[in-house]
Amino acid sequence: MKKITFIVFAIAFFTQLSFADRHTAHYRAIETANQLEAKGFSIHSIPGRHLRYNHYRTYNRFLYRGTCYGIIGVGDQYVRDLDVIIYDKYWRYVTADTGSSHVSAVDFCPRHTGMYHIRTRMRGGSGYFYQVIGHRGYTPAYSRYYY
Amino acid sequence: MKKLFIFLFLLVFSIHLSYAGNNEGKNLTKAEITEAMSSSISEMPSAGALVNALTYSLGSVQWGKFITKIDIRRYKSVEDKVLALGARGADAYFLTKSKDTSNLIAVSVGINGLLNKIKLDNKSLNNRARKAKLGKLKKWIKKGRWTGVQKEINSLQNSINDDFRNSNSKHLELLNNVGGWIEGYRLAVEGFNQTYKKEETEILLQKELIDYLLKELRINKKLKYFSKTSSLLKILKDVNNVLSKSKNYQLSKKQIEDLLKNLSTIKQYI
Repeated sequence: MKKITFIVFAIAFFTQLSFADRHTAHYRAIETANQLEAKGFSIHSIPGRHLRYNHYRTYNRFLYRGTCYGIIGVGDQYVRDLDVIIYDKYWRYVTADTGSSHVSAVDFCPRHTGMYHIRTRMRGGSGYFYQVIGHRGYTPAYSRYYY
Repeated sequence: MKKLFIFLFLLVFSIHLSYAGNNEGKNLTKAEITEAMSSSISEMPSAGALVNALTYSLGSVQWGKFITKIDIRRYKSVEDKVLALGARGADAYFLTKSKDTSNLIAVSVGINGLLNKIKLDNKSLNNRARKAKLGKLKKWIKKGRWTGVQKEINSLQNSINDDFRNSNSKHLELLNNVGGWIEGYRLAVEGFNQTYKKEETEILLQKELIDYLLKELRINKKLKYFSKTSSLLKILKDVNNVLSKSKNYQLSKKQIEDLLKNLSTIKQYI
């Protein structure tokens, strides 16, 4: 019984890993980047990698006051829930998108210039994700500051 | 009894898993921070983001007057050329923001010349696709399509760094970033020197970024033999020294002048 349970779990785990589709995630990320560009954002970079359930990846980025950032995490078809959480340089929580979807988006205008930690966490499923980061000028009518 | 025990164990374990990572909206614990610091990856900001922020802080600035002319013949090694390429990329972002057609065309011609001369694995960095992109860029500059120009500069810079990465030349990617950062920062300081706004000088407090660049320059083995590495380290250290004297997240006019003095060395290399 134990052996069968182990085998079933092992098959499920490795099947999920092998089906994780980097190309789908990348394709979705490029489409997202195009949509961001259409909204006036300049795309800076699109790093990505594989993430297992409940694992995360953190990118440190220097963000400027007076610039707004569109930060979007996009997962492949095996990702069910991806979260993007932003911390300041002291690792204090700033803002997040923790909705239940394979896409998480944060429109973030930092009040202070400095290093921020942008964490993408796999909350459901397992697979590849890409983090699309774009920036645009701060316009008071469309933006709000975050502490 | 055994079955019940296993069931309870699995139940408790699954509840623990579902709550373990659910700390959104809360700050991290000390242990989590230590763990996160060791696994996180630092990425350089774009000069485009800096110039956006400067436009918000200083208003419209004619950046063209702070930019030096390019003389491609003075660059000897590949590293020299890549350092200058990074700096000229930053110039291009700033000139796009001030919609300076004539200077931007001069800079794009310089970038084209540099790309022709940089060779990776015996192949020029200026391949056919890149030449076509530069041609399109020039056309858009002349037509004043500034959003498109900014997009093209962005994609050009990212694709060049991708080429460095793919050809196992991470030291060139680093030099491209260092050149871009120092030139962008120099222009920002020039802007504050011209229009001093004490409350906006927080944007120049980029100590974490300088520490990151210093660390990367020091540990890169290939750059140990590059003649300008020690000068670049000195510029960064001197800038950091001035920044460490800042008070209340602001810099005085004297400190801005000191920064400018330290940064002007870069003009000899780009």
